[in-house]
Amino acid sequence: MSAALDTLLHNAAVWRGSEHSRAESESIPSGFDTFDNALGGWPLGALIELITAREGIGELSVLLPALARLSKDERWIALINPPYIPYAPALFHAGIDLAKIVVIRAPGAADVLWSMEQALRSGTCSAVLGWPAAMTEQAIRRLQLATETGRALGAYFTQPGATARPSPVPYRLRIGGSIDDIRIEVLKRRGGGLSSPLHLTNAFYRQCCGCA
Amino acid sequence: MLWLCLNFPRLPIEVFLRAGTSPEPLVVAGGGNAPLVIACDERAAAAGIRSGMALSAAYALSPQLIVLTRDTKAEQSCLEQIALWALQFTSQVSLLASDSLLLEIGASLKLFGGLDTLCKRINESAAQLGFDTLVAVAPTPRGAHWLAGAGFGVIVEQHKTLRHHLDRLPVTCLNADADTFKSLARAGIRSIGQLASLPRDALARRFGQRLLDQLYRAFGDLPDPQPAFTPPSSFAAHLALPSPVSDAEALLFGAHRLILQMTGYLSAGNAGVTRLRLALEDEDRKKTDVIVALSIPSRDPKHLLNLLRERLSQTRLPARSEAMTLEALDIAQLAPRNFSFLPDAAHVREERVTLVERLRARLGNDAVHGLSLFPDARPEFAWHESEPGAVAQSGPPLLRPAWLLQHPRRLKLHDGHPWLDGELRILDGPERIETGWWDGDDVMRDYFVARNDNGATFWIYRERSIAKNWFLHGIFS
Repeated sequence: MSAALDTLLHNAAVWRGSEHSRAESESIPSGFDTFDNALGGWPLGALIELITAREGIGELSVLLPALARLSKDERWIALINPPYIPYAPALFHAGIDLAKIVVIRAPGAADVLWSMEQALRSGTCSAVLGWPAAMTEQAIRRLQLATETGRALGAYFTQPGATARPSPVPYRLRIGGSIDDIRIEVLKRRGGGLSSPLHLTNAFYRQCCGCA
Repeated sequence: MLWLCLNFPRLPIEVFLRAGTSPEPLVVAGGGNAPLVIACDERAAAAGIRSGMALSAAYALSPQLIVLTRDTKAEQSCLEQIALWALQFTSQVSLLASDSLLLEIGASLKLFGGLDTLCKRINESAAQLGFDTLVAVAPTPRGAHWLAGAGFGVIVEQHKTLRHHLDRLPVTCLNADADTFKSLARAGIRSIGQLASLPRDALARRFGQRLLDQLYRAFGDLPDPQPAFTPPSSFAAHLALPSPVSDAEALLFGAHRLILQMTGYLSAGNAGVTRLRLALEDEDRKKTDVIVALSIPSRDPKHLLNLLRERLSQTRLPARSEAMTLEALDIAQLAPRNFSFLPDAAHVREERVTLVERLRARLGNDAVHGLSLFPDARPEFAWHESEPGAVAQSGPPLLRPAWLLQHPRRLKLHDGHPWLDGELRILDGPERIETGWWDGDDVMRDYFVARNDNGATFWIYRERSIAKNWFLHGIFS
């Protein structure tokens, strides 16, 4: 039975959904092997929803190696309405060229979405990270279109502790654990979710935090 | 030399209608006691009104007719504005009569990719400005003017064929008095061809040498120098709206025309604008200024219009606007750029500035900033807001959280231990920071990396003053 299944799966005519996402879209290495093996890196040109269990678990640090790589490019890295001050020494230490960072403080909820759309669509941003107060299905569709147009790494963070709700976003990841051992559940991606969570070990923080 | 004459047959009405359409049939009339219709809009034309008709007859056809008096002064200044715009196609532009411009295009053909392409571009570009045009090209300036004025939109490149085209024109092309035209008509001379076939000396005796010289100049037998239009060193253009407007999109429609005019003027001098003002005038003649500032000079009409749109949406207009004036406040030279097949770094840098400008136009200047390091051991002073794109300094590698709190938050204590969603266990520290006594913002703190039971990691400190309070200062996000 299992041998028969194997031959079937190795037949070139069989198309497997789990390979779909890697073959089709552009991506950028995340800097974490387990993540890259499972997802092929962070997708470019597809909107990503990041659900964080709580603050302070390394929710931004999972993106920093990719941002460092993208900051070699001439384009901006836009941070739109971050909940706190994006701390320049930490970003610099992560290898990000600070000259590429643009921080945008939009006064209203509509302005946040507008700024994200402008940044994503412009094609002059390599990455756009947003912290909107809330997302509507219509806003997600608009941002997804803008992300496709600009070919950027486009991601938004939900409010800490929010639960996953069905929406048209192509990628939905839940981040848990703690900064030196981050657990990522891939709830949704092109080609189907992953059944088991990914563990990303952050060597730098593990060493600094002095914990095992 | 090759001359292109740009005739504006509907200028008297376009002066009023460029910025939008009128809700009722509209005509422009003039001419003393028995006014005649000089030009009419589409609605009026649909009602059967034609130019040349007596105004009373027009009223009979359409009682709700709006009648505007012809404004020759506005037409003249409008023509000068178009001349500014036309400077992008050639360095020599002349104003002719009241409704025509003359462009010497012989030297521009190569740059614009040939005569046909150039003519097409001029036509399309003029239509975007809101003008109907008639274009005629001839090897002599007067020839081009006659052809365009008589409604012949032909392109004549060779001297040989010019005569053939000019011969068909009516004698009314000539610049002469009514008596001359009467006697020409009496003699049965209707076309230029008939006139030119008469013996020249007899013609000179009967109608004067001036008339004959006009023929010679049109045929290219006499030199015909044209006074070149010299552009002013600044740009300001005015536009009256057909009816008062409060809607931003309707205002932008008019502003778009003015922006195109301005960008034409700017490209003539290879310049860009860094600050521009749109002054909106309401019914009480009160002005509201909308100012757009750019960090890199630009003459991209799309970009400028986008910035203006964002600025306008942030501006509260007190009343409906009747007129607008666009003014280029600061003009700067643009660096010449080579066209490249691949998008180069300099191009990307220029492009990305437009994003910052667009965001700032809507959100305000302070809402968009960059980050830079500052050599100060105090965490709150170790970074600065800077202009996006400013070159960053480097700093020492230290363990720092990605989020910093604007104001440190006092932590609660449980049995003497700091508490944040659970007891905080110290993972790392202390890192002692004790400095800044010289400027009054001195800090005496021991920093720790701490984690609660949920796995959230924080950057906290204990004051080394007497109180020994605990504070949250950063989040390892």
